[in-house]
Amino acid sequence: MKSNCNAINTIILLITALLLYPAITSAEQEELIVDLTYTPSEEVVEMSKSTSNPDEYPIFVIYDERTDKGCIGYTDVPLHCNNIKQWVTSAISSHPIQGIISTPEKANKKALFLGKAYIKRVSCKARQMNMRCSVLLEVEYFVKHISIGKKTYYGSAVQTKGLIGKNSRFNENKISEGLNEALSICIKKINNEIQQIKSI
Amino acid sequence: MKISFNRQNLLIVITLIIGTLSMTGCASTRETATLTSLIGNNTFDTYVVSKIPNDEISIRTNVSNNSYFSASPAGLIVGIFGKLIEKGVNKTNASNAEKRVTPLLESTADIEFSRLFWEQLEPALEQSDWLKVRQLDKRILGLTAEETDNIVSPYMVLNTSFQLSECAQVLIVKTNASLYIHNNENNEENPEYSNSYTYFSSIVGKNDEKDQEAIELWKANNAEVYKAALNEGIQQNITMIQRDLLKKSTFFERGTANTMQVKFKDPFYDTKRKIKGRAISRFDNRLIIQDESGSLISLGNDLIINEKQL
Repeated sequence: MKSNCNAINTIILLITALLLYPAITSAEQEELIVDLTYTPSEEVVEMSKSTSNPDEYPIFVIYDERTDKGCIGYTDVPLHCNNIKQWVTSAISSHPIQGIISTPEKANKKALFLGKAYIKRVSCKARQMNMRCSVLLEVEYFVKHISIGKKTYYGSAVQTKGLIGKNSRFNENKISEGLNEALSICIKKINNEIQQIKSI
Repeated sequence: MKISFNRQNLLIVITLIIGTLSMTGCASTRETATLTSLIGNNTFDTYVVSKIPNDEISIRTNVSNNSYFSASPAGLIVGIFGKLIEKGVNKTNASNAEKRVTPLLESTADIEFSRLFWEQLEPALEQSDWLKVRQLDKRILGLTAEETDNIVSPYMVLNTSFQLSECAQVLIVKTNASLYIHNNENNEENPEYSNSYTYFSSIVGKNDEKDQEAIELWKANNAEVYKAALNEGIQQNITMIQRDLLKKSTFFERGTANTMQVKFKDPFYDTKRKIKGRAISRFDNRLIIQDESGSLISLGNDLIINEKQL
C-alpha cells in the first residue's frame, strides 16, 4: 500500500515537473539558428519532370528580396537562418524543375527559357502548440528574352506539438519539416507552370 | 500556508498598488507633460525602429490560463488535469484558427503588410515638425538588450501588428509607440512618451456572418474588402500617430477633459466595453476617440452600441 502511494506521488511529481518545465527553462535560450536542407515532399518526388532533355532545362536567377535576410520569425525564441538563398536554389535545381542556376549577366545571354525567382517571404510563427511555416516566391518568366509575366507562389504548412513543455517550443527538425513542406508546395506549382508554358 | 503581514510587507503592497495605478491611469498625462516641456521649439534627430513581426494575417484566439495548483495531493492532481485540459483547449482553438484562416492566406499571400505600412509611415515621419528621422530601422524582431544598451537616444520604437478578431468579423491593426528622448540607466522602462493606437474595421458582412462565412466574405472578389480594410487600418494608425505624437500642434492638445462616453463591441475580447474620452475626429463611418489613459481607438460605426456627451 505504501509503495503504491510512493509510486503515485512520484508520477504526480514527474507530471508536475513536465508541466512546470516551461517556467523552469524560460531563460535558457536566446535564439535558434536553423540550418535548412531542402527535402522535397513525397508528392514532389513523384512528380514528372518538366523536360527530360538537359538542353531544355530552364535557367533560373535567384534573388533574395526579404527586408530582414537573417530572421525567419519566432517560436518561443527568435529564429535565424543564414542559408535561405542556397535552400531555395537547391529546391529549384532539384527534381522536378531541374533548373540551372545562373547569374544575371550569364543568364540573359544564353537563356531561351529564363525564370527570375524572387524570395519574398520565409516565415515561421508559433502560438499555442501550433506553428505556421510559410514561403512566398515570385517568378518572372522570359521566353527568348521576352517577359511573359510574373506569378507569385505561396506555400504554407502548420506543425503541431504535444501538450508537455513550452507552448511555443519547436525544435529545428519541426521547423525544417514545416518550411520544406511549404517550399515543396511552391516548387510543385512552379513546375506545373513551366510545363504549361512549354506546352504552348 | 499562513503569510505573516508585517509593516514592511504592507508598505511594499501599498507601494505596488500605487505604482500600478499610476502606471495605468496617469502615465499618459505625466508623459505628455514631460514631453511637452522637452519638445518646446526643439527638433530631435531620432532613430526610429519600426517592428512588424508578421506579414501574414492570423485569427486571434483568447488563451485560457485559469487553472492552478494547490498544495494538497488532491489539489495537485486536479491542478495537473485542469492544466492539461486547458492546454488541450488552447491548442485546439489555435489549430482551428489556423485552419479557418488558410483560405484567406492563400488569396492574400502577395499582400505585404509591412511594405504597405512603411510606405505610409515614411512620409508621415518626414512631415513631423519636431521629429527628424536619423534612421528608419525596419525589422521583424524588436531590439535586443545589447542593441538597446548601445542605441544613442533619442529613439522611438513602433510595434505594429494586425489580426482578425476571434470570430473573424473585424480586422484589427494596432501600433504601440515608445519614445526615449534621453538615455538613462533604465531606458527601456522609462520612455518619455508611450501610447497605443488601435483600428477596428467595420464588421464584415451584413448578416452576422462569423468564422468561415466571414473569411469567405474577406476573400471574395480577389480579397477586395480585406485589402480596403487593411489600407484603412494602416491609414488610421498613421493618422493617430501623427495626431498624437508627430504633429506638435495637435500633440499639445492632449490631456484635455473627457467629452463623451462610448459603449462598443470590443473585438479584442468579444465583449461590450464602455470608455470615457474625447472625440478626436468623426467621419461618415467611423469615430476616433482618445480614452482616459490617452490611447487612441478608431472605431467602425457599426461597433458602437451607444454614445453620450458628458
